[in-house]
Amino acid sequence: MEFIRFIVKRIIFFLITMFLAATFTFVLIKSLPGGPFGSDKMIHPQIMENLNEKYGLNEPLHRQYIMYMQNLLKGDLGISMIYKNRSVSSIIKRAFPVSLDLGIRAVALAVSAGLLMGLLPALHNNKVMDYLVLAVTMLAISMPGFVMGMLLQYLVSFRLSEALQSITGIGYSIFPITGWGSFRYTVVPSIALAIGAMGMMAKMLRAGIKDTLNQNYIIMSRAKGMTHMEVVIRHALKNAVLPLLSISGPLITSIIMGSFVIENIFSIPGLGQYFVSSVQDKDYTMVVGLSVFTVFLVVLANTLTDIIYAVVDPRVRIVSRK
Amino acid sequence: MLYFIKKVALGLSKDRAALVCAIFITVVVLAAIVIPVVSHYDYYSHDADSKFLPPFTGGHWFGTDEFGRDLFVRVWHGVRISFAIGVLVAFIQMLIGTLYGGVAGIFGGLVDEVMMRFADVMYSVPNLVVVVLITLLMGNNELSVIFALSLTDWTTAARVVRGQTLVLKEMEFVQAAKVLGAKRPQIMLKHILPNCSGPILVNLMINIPSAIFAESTLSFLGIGIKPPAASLGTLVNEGFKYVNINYYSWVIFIPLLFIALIMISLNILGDALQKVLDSKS
Repeated sequence: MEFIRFIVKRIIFFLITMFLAATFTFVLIKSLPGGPFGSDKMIHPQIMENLNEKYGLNEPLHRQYIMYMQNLLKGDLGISMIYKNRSVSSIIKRAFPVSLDLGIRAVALAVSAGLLMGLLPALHNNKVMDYLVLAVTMLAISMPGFVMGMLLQYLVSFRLSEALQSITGIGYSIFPITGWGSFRYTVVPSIALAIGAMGMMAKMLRAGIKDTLNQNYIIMSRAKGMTHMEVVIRHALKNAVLPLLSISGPLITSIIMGSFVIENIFSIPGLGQYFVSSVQDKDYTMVVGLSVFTVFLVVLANTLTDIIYAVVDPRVRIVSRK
Repeated sequence: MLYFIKKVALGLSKDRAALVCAIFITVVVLAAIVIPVVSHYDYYSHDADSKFLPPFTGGHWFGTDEFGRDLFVRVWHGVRISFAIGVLVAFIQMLIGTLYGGVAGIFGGLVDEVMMRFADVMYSVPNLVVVVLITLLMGNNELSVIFALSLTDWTTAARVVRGQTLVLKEMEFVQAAKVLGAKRPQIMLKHILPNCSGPILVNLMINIPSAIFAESTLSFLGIGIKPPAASLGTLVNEGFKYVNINYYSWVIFIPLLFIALIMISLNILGDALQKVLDSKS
């Protein structure tokens, strides 16, 4: 019962957020200077009027608002103001799979590397390794995505590829500098995107394991004769992984937003690339459409992870009922 | 306030890494204030005769960029803008958050519920999108970027202050003040805010690097501050767009190095401050 109430609450929150975001973008697009047909070219007033009538732009505002909302519900995000006959949804259909692919690779990398980095110092009980991990996580967290992206692009895509090329004698570069295609293309961007999230995970995991290892029941299980390895894996890890779910929302947000940057550095034809170029071109309908879609993605991901968290950890449902 | 400074100074003096970072940041801030003023180059003049000079040639310590502009001054100017924006944005976020959380906490009930749900909405919407939409409306200058960034990320401060207010307003000394006839604003200012200044300060310290982070990312994408004005992000963006990294790597790597060092120092400092001020509770 509690659980159902929690899920319903989360879904209502999701709907309210989307409603507010849609309303905000509607207000925004109405207050921007110039309509969709107000280009530099002179247009005959009659044609202008016909166009406005065709797209319902001469209707009263509240009618336009209702139309806008109805279109959103149908998944129609409008038409690009710069590219002729290109709808925002067609661009999303083309670009989103690319971004999703990159995002999934990055998440997989971040989770595996983050777990490894959080676990290693505890497993080996090694001071030097602990400091090393601490330094690497600090670096990973504080470097903005574009710094990491450009460094990796230079060091791996330029320098390492060049070196490998001259050593192995292959005629093409192993890690291409830009573009998107086979596995070779995906390696460096995925690593660059994963680093920030990996740092956040490793930091939290490390702190969690350290905390748990000081608990009484750990001393008890050591007294029982469990080896250090067993204690860390069976008790400490289990307790430290759970809180990771609580930051999975921000983590996913950071991966989605980070992909905007990485896609621009490596010229990957994903959502971020289109988003940034449409902002630069002042393609208002496109920016607004892509923004609504991005907000949708992020909030959906947050809602899903919250629900998963509540499934795994019953305390979450009870606290949130308050 | 004096108590805080003492506590922070004592805590930092024990943490060697944080101390180094504090000194580094102080030096960088001072240099960013002084160098653009005293240097006989400026950050916007083109010089077609001295394009792409490598570092330490012709009196240009960091070399010059694709228009022959002196990179040394440009970088320090960029540091100045990035810091100014970071600190200003973090302060405005703190003010908004404190006011918002305080009002929600002290009124309680339905007001609190509605206000905090709205804060949740703001928290769940990605910052970059909000900032891009606002700058679309207001143009790409420093003021609009500051304004847009300030409207995001205030939710953590609001939550902290609201939580503290809810606890504190039930405490005896606040009840006593109420009985003695103190009004709500007075209670808020005199009794509640001083008691949450620790977490607020930590939040401010954490928000400065994240504001610099957000601004430089925006500028790097070419949708933040526009040239010839230059934040560190703009510098990297220009280098990335117009410069071949194989031949003129310094144009890109010097600003990158500055961003990296500043971000790391501010983050270590924030962590240290959190440790110092949290140990009280």
